[in-house]
Amino acid sequence: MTGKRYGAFVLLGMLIASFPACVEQPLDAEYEDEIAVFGFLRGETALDSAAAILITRTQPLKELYTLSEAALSGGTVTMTEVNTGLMVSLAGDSARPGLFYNESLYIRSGYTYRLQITTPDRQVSAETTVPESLRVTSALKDDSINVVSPDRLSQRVPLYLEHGDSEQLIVVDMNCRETWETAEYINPFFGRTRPGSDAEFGGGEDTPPKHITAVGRFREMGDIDPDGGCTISWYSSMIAFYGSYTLTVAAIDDNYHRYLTRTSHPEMEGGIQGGIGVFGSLSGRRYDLFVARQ
Amino acid sequence: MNRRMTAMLLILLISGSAAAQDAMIHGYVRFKESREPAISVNILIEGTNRGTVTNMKGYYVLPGLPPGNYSLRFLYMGYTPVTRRVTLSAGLDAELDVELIQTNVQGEKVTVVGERGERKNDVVAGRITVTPAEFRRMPQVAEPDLFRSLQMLPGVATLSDFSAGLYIRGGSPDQNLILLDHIDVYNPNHMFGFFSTFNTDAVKSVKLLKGGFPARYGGRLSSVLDVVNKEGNRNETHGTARVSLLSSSLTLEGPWKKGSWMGSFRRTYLDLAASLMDIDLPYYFYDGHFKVNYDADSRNQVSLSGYLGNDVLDIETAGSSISLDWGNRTFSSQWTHLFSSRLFSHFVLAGSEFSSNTLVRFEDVGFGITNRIDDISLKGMLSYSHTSDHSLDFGFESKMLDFGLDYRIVDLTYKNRYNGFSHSAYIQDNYRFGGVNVLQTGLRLNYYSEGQYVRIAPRAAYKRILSDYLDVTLTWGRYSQFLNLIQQEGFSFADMWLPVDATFPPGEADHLIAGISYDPGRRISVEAEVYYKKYRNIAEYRAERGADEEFAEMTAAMNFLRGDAESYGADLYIRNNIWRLQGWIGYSLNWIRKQVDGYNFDKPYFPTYDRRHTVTVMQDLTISGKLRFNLAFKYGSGQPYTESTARYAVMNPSGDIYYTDLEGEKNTRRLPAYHRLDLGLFYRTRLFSLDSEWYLQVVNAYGHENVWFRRYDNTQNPSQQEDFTMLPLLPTFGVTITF
Repeated sequence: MTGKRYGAFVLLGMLIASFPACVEQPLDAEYEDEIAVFGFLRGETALDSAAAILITRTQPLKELYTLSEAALSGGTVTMTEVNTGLMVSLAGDSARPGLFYNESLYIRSGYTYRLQITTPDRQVSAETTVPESLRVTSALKDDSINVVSPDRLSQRVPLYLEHGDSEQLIVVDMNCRETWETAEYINPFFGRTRPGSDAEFGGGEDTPPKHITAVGRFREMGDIDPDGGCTISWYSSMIAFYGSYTLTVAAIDDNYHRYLTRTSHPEMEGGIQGGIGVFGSLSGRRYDLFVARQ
Repeated sequence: MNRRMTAMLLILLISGSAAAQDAMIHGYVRFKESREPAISVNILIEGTNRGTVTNMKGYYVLPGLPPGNYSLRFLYMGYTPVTRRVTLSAGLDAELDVELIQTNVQGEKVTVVGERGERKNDVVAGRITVTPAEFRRMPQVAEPDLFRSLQMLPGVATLSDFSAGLYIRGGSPDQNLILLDHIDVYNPNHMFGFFSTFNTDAVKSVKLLKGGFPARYGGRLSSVLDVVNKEGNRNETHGTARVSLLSSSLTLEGPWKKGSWMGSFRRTYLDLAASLMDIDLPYYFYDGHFKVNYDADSRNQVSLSGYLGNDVLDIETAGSSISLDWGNRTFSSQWTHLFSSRLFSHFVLAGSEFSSNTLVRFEDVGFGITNRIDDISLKGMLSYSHTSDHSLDFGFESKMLDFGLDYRIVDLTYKNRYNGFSHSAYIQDNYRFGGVNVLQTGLRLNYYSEGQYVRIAPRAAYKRILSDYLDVTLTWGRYSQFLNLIQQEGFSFADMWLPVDATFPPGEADHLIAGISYDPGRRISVEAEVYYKKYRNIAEYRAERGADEEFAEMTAAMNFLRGDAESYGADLYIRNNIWRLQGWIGYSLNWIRKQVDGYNFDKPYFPTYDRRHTVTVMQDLTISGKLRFNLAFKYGSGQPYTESTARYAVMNPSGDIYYTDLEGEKNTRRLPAYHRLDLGLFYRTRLFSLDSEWYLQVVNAYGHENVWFRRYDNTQNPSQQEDFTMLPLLPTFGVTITF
């Protein structure tokens, strides 16, 4: 056999040997039917309709999504106060599909609560221990809207925080309640006065986000004074748009913390066994702000 | 001194000493037009199977030759073959320096000679040498780019049109050892990874080793890209000016005393052009190369080279600003010394610095990352040629590494400092026996101070020459890596390198490569290789942070997740020089799978750069001495992407409900196939009595909408799939003037 023929033979052999494995395995991503739970228990508050837990089923991506279709049906939802053994059933809100509550249950700081969802094909459970309340002292009113002038945003309103546990996880959360269609920049962003898309409003594309959250241990919030408290304030940079905001300053549990801080699949990290979402708890204050156009 | 070293080396040699009556031929090969050293010139002793190649300084030696008459043939791509006759007497050392003459300067005609001589005496798997002339014959986006040229080679995968990153045989860009004049370049990217840092006008040679690299190289798991700057014309002063839509560059070179110099500078002017149109585009990059050589005598040469490059982005708007700058700086001082005709040495003292600063400021608060790498290296690379069939390579490398990574979060700065020493020593025996067998056995010892890691990296390669046209090779090697990269897939600007420590073991890889090379003559050559790579302890960036983890003094285990991977496939590389048509056709078949602890539900996945089939065609047609036409076509089967599997409602503590999609396992679906045709037309003429070449290029000539990434718009109900596409049809033009 000449060198040329031999070479052609070997080359051909190598190629033939490698091709049978070339066929691409079809790796279809199939629809995942999951139960999604979003619940945030607030210390020293009844589990009423305002604090209801959202329980839905996932829906196929390319089908019309409605909450009434997605809302959990045909199952039972119970909540157990682990410390006392008290168990109550949660009923669905007839006006708001997917939301479950029982206003007879009073959530107490330091107590552990177990959520149990039973459907013919699923068992979903989750547990959270409500943190001891974060005491917040501020000139901000928590029973009415605090109107803020844009030119006074940089004049920070101090919030004095106190908590018995310096290791407690704390969240400072500023959330714009406007929609992207109605939102308007306080400082025009690259010449634009309004966000061009929901993604831009949400903070994508290197733009100011509508929702900024700071999370850390209590000891990391600032310099702790001799009385065990510390002073924080919101930064003007947390407010990019005119309109309504909710400022939450609270102690949070591990479930909510993991959900907030995971960048990959946070819905798997919120403490839901057998489902997705987050079952967390927080104890603190919530303030409504309104940044008025001048 | 010389005798002592020679004696020591002789003891190390496995084989018996050469007969005392044997003679040798040695010398330098240079290009006549510039008198620059010619690297990798094939030197064949006619009528025998013997031969050698010139090294990085154009030096060659053929020892152990019996007395007699010899005819030596010197072959190099694009240069007229040279034949020299030498008569050797017993014990005589014949010094034979040769100058090569370019075949066809006007048309930059390149002769595909193959690398037969090199292949007969050396076993280096997956080696592809690309010359600057070849870069310039390929249609490019705006201007010639080294990495984008390499992306057209089989075995080199791409992520997107926007990334010049090199994904070589399943390896990621951080697993490529990129050397510029023998010093590491850590982040060789401009424009967020769109272009590479090397100005092709300043580059003399580029050698890509796609795997199984010899003991001389180490420190990375996948491949080696060895870039050498031009030394400069030793005859007369020359210059090259290049104007493209993106940038302008000027390269000057010339002789001085007993040596040469070269300087090159390039800057983009997108910012300046945009400002003329009243558009604010505050971004630019620049880079510069320089090199000075001094040929002290026939046994000693010294050189000093450097590189400086920077990217700057400064966006200032009411209430916020974004400021980014990143860049590399390197210097390399080299001393080449011939201890004897048989013992060639090359010593390098070099430094490389990379720094990046990112600062995003909203009103009175800022968030930023500052990353810095300082690398001071001392290397020695020696080669002893005992006979023309037996040689020994050996050397050492010591690195002093200093890393800094600072996070600025609001008012606080979290500092991370890492210092370490890396030491390596290698030895490689190159032995040819029976006339048709070449065996290379090597060993590299690596040590890293943080964690006290010692890694033994054996290498072995065997070649069987089946005929004048055909040889087969089998290569195995073990590799280790002490550095890991924090990188966002697809964009490269502030990528951060961090070393391993006691908490995270070094990466390791085994390469097994079998190849066949078929080179029947001047018209066509074929190379095919199959390979398998097994990776251990690869690092995936750990984006998550626990509540108790600080941003300061982070260990490697806090920054990275540990994983394993395997890659296998085949490359086919057919080069042609038929009629007026020169170029190549490449085909790659590749699988790469990773499994990383605590990532993707602990399940294996295909990384985004996993592409099963890639076909590349690059052809250059010389229409006349003045006119050339070329095309580059690339087809790639679909890249994997992560598909959403469902939609669900999310509620925040404020009670707001919105909708999002549920992501499934990583990269289980494939995007549509990628294909793109680029065309180029080059016309040479005289402009103000200067040689000039005008070019018109069309990128993506038929305007195919290649999908870059896919996502779902959840503001729509039902969710709407959105495809974001890569480069559209894009005409560019420019001119190169030489003087």
